[in-house]
Amino acid sequence: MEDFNKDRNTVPSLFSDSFFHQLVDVIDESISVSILKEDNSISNFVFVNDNFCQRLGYSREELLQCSVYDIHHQSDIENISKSVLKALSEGACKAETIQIDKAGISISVELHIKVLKEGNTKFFVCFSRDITEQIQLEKELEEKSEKYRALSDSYNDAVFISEKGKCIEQNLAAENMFGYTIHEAIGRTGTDWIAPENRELVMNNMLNGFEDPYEVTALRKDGTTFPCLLHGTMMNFRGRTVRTTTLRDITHQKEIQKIEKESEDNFRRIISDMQVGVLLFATDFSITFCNPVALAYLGLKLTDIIGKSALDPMWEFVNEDYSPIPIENGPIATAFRTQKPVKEVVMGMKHPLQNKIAWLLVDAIPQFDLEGKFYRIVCTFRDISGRIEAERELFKNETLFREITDHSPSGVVLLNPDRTYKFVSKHFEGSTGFSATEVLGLDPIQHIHPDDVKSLVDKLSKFIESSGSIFTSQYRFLRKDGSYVWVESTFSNLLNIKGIETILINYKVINEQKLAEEKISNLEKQYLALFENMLDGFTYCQMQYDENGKAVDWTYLAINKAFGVLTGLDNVIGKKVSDVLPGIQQTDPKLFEIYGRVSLTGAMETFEMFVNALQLWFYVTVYSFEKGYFIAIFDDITEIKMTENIIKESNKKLIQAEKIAKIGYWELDVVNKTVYGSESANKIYGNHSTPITLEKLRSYRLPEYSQMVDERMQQLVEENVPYEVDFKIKNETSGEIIDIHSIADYNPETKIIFGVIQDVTEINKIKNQLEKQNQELKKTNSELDKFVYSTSHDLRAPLKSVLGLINLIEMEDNAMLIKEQMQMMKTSVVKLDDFIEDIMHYYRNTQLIVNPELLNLEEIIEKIQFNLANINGFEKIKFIRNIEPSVTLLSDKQRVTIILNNIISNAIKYKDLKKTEQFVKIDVFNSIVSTNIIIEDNGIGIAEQDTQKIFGMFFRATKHSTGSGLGLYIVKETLEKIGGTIHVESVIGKGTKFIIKIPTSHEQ
Amino acid sequence: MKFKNILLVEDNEIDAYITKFILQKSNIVVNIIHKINGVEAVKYLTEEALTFPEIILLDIRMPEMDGFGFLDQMEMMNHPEKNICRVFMLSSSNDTNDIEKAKTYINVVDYMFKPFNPNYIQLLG
Repeated sequence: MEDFNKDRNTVPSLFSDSFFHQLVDVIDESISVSILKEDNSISNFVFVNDNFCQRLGYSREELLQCSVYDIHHQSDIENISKSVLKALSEGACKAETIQIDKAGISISVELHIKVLKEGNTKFFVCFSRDITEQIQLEKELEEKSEKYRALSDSYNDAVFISEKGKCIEQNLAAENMFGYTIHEAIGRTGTDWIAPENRELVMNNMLNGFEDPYEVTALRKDGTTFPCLLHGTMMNFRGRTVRTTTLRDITHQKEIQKIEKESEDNFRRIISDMQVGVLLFATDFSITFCNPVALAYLGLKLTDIIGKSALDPMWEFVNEDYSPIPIENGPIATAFRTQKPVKEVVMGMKHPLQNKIAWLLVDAIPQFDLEGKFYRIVCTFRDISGRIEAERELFKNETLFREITDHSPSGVVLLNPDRTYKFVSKHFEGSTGFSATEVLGLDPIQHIHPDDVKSLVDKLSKFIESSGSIFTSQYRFLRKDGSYVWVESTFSNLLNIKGIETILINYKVINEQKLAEEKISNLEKQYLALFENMLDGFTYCQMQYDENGKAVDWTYLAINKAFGVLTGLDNVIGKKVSDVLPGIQQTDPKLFEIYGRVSLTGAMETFEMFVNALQLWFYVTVYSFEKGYFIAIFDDITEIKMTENIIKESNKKLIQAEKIAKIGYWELDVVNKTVYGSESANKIYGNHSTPITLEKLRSYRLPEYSQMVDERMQQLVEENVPYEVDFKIKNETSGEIIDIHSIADYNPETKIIFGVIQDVTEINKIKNQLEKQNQELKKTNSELDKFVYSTSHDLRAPLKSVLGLINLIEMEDNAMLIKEQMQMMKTSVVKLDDFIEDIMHYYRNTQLIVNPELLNLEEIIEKIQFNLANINGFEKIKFIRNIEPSVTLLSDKQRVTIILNNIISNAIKYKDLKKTEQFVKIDVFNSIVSTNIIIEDNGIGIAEQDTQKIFGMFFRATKHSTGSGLGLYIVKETLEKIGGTIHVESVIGKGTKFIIKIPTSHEQ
Repeated sequence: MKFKNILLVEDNEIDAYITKFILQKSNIVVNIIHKINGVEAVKYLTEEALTFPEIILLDIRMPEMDGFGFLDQMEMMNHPEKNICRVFMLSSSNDTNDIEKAKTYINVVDYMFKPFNPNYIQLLG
């Protein structure tokens, strides 16, 4: 409060002018003034105008108790602080914030902030304007224009909005159709989208507010043009008069129209030239087209007919029996009504101008446009008046005759004396296709096959001269479709019979019979050609038998070309095979046997044979159609046989090789997931036969390999990664575990993986053995190295010590010292001697054969103890021996002694002097297979990490060690030699326990 | 006296006696510290020694930790005086592998064959 008062007191008399006060109160703008403090925070309002108070709903007094922070939303405070800084640096700034009125309602406001200086005081002047409505309007506007754009963009038609001839908006379709982006389009003159020749028209229409659609040529950005349907409308848009123009690309429609027009032109041209009458009727029955033939048939002029209705009563139609046809039942009207074609209606038309009936054969066909809309009738017709008249004439005179002839199974033709057709029975049309009207009055000779004309005409000319004569002849007669039909005709000369004066032809069709004959003859020719030209050898022979009915020889009656080619034989016809191939009876008796049998029985036989006489393989089929004769058809298959043999041979070798190498070939069809394996592969898997499914194959693999093999196969197929894997399977038959080495490749064309598997179980066994041996050798080698190194060192070290002592003695006069040094020399020499003894033990163990004997352990241990008595401190150690009397051990005495000597001497050497009582305890007892010797002491013990190392060569576990480091190594090696084991348990500071097991009876 | 401290690392009591005897007679050193293997020597350097010895006479074949094991440990020490400490190998081994291996250690300045004799005093410098 103090601050506030202070601020107030510093207000200068800037606002004391009442005129100014009134002025700011009437301004339609909210004004507030605060003081900007030194820390840039804002004091409470020092001035507010009426407008500000009213907008916020506070009284002026209330507001003067508030600051700008109090009337703003909490989240806006930072915004205001920023604005203050900005106003400070720039003098003024704008900000949009939210003010909260007394009722707690948020008002969006735009602030104009100014910082004014008066002396040392900075004023924070704030003009705020309510922009809630504005923001809402803007938002609405945005939404609306988005909607509008989305709508217009979804049109396929280009939409433009223009004002005063300039584009102010276009949709997406417009951009796509013309190539102008929205930015390029805006401001462009509307006529830029129109080809130059149409611009004036479009401009005029725009100026006049023309609102009907019309076609124009549109112009793209790239200069190309296309036809468009333009539709402009004036409208009011946000208080402005604008023009909306839509443009629809009608290129497609135009093309269709063009094609339609062309095809219509073609259609009309064609029907103009047609030899049938054509009339086109529009849907209102009016005639829209009439071709010249139609006019001629109808005897009318074009002007008489165009525009006339089909229903015009000037046409009168009748049926064949002259009964009138009501116009509404006529073919045109029927076609109109049913919208289905009406075909081949015969009707008479009473000529509108001449009093005559024209007989017409009428078709009326409705046509439909592309959209399936019925739009006209095509009516075609032919004048068949001549035929109808003739039919009527015949009908009148010859009904009876026709009745008879029409029911005859054979055809009847009557000829005039001039040899032209006078009458044909119904049969004639059936068998020839020609109707009576088509042939009456014609010369039948023109219907005879050219090859048959001459003989027939010769016969006919004689026949005509002799009245009453009859003859029969076969010849080919022309059909309407151009083919010929065989007929057998009986001609009767009735020319001299009065009132008849005709030639009667009674004919029957013998086509099938003739064709069959012809076919057989052709077939024979074809067969002959076939035999002659076929690649197989063909021979027809007569068989000869001896008195016992045994086939002994044959004679060649016929052969084909291939016979010579295949056998190399020439000029054999009429010859005997015994002459052609002497000795064949002896070399190929089987051939005679078969040929002889077939010639007798007639039962066909097929066989493959190596003919010794020719040194060739043949595939032979032999038949007999007549007893004693045979036909042999054969092919030289020597090459195939040889290849087959080679394949068989190499297959055999391959299988053998596979068996020997334990290799198998396999294929995997990736698509069908089936596996084929060679015999040997199957054997490796213990499979009885392949193909098997991939799933089955996978089941053989040991589970731990399955995934790896699958992955490798996949990599082979997909990435061409070379496939060479080792895995194990379980042989299905024997249950053995087999090591497999598998190599494969993939053929992407056939989608087949193919490869070999090898049973490497044996190989692996040998490999493992070799590896083991190799490792043993390596070990031996390194031990040998170490041995040589250590031995040479340990042999020399005591000598060097002696040498050093000798040096000292040489320089020394003091007798006491010399004596001391001499004692040292002795120690060194003893040590050397011990070492050499160790080496000897080691050497003996490795070299000497094991010499088992029954051992008295009690005695052996006793002796060892005795020998060790010179070791320092021996006398203080308590020995506890507990040896079962029943113990019998058959082993190598020397080796057992070395072992026990080492262990016991260690127990003495490494006694723990800290302990008041030291002991070495030796237990010996038998178990079922071994003699157990346990040597326990309460010495210094061995560190846990050293318990395994102590058996190593030259290992000295402790600094107290004075030995060679060979002792326990020799123990272990020696035990191994006699089949024993050693085990140590030790706790440092407490003691050590060695457990030695030696087999009770030594086995070599 | 030339040197304050010489450390002798030697397991063989007789060899140690000989070396100490000659060193004492030569009057070049105040203190001779004798340790019987690498473990003891390392323990001395890291836990007991107030100053680093100027010279170390080092045997190779010793139980628990041999001379090379000691040198490996010494390399890992970061005593400021370590760099002025010179190591002389003192061994009965004339194996080339041992000699070559010794050369790979920074502190090793020479390789002496046992037994230690008065001539070696001059080599110590």
